[in-house]
Amino acid sequence: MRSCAVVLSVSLILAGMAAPAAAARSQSPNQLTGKLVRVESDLLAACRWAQAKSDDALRSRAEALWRQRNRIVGQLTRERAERISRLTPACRMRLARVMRGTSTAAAPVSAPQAHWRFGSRGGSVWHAPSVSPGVDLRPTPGLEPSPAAERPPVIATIEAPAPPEISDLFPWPPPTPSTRRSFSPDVLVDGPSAATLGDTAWRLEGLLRRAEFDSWGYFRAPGGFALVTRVERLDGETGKQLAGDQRWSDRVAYASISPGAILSAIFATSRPRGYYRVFVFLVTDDPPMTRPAGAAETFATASRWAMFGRSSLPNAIRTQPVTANHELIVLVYEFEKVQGGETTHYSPSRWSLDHHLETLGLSFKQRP
Amino acid sequence: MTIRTAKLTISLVWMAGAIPLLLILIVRQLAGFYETDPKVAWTWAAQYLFPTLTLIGGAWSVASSAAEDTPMSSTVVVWGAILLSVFYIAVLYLILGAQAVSIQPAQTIFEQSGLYLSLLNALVVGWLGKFFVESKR
Repeated sequence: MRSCAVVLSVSLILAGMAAPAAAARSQSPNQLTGKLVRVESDLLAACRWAQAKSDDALRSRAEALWRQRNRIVGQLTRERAERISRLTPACRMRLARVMRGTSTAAAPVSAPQAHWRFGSRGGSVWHAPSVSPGVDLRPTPGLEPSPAAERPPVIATIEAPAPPEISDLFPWPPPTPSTRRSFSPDVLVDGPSAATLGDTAWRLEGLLRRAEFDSWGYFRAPGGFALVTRVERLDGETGKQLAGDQRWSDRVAYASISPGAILSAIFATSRPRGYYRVFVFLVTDDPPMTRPAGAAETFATASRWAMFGRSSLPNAIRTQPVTANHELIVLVYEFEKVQGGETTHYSPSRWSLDHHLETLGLSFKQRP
Repeated sequence: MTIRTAKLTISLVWMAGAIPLLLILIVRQLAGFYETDPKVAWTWAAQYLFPTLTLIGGAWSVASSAAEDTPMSSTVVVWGAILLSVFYIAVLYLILGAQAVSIQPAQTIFEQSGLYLSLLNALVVGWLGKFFVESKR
């Protein structure tokens, strides 16, 4: 009788342990997606909180949320998880820093290692445009962290995905451009269809080389990539790029110090100003809305964009097929910057998109 | 050099320096050179140009005497005042010129110039004060 009771008890305990897992497995992808979005919203709030302070409550909360997120991600397909996730690399880094604080002694990690540890499986994932404010970061009853003694070291609890080969285009959604238009991802007017994103990138690079672009940078974008050109200086009258090295100078050059130059500076009634342009070629199957941003902020971003990006497209993106949903969106950012004065971001543009493309000798295949 | 000639020379130096400088400031303000903050330009002028002009104007407002036709007792004071005035006015013009070519905002240049202009201005006003007081003796 006693042995029967023991067997029954063990069976009940085992069944009790298996039940939540089975329940979790039985959840539909949509339910899991909703859960992931909620957990990531809290994680984003934790990121924001971590900018200002880092304490035990935040650390515990971040760890609990991260574990919960990993459980949900484990039940979704990688593609779906990547598509849903809104955690930015900066947020992941911040979370890693916060959580690393608990287990430095047990598992000392460098910042870059920590960064990768907090990525999703198989690479970094998509990020959020903004963080919803006002999320309560205090530990919730359902998400109470385990006691410190039972808390596993970070290395043991956090998955270690492969480091991302390419950064996300940041900021996202991109700042409102001066002008933009969608084209076919086939790029070339009379060329064959692009089979992969690599084909599209290769064709874009060819056009940029022909237009004598100095350099460019690649970023990841939803379902594709973004190619950003180095900031170019334009002629304020014609809207054409300046010739030679002047094209790539983001500062107005001055004559040497001579009596004539000094006199003209003294009697000057306006400050030198420069006109600038940046192209973003966005190949995506999910065209984004844009967000208005300050002129100085946008110029500061645009003037560094290309240099922050990757010089070539990683293989993982290059081999992705071009689908019927893909499109090439050309975004042009025009600026006027007064030396030592204010910056103007022309939106709408001063010159048309066609004018910009004509000055470079570029033409793109129209969308069907 | 008589006292009257010395006074006239110093006054002319300051008039020749101050009037174009004020015109430049007016034209720049009208042309939007100082964008939304032209006040800082006039605060600067009031601080570093007008005290000397007021001193010179005050000296001229006193009725002239026969002693003004006598030679200056010390030429060092006269030439010192003239050279110091020319140097000071040249610095003021350089500051205006720098605003047109610097990557710093004009407002910052005005503010930073206060660091050395305060010292120079004290020196100039002191020296001119000495000249005008001595010329009345």
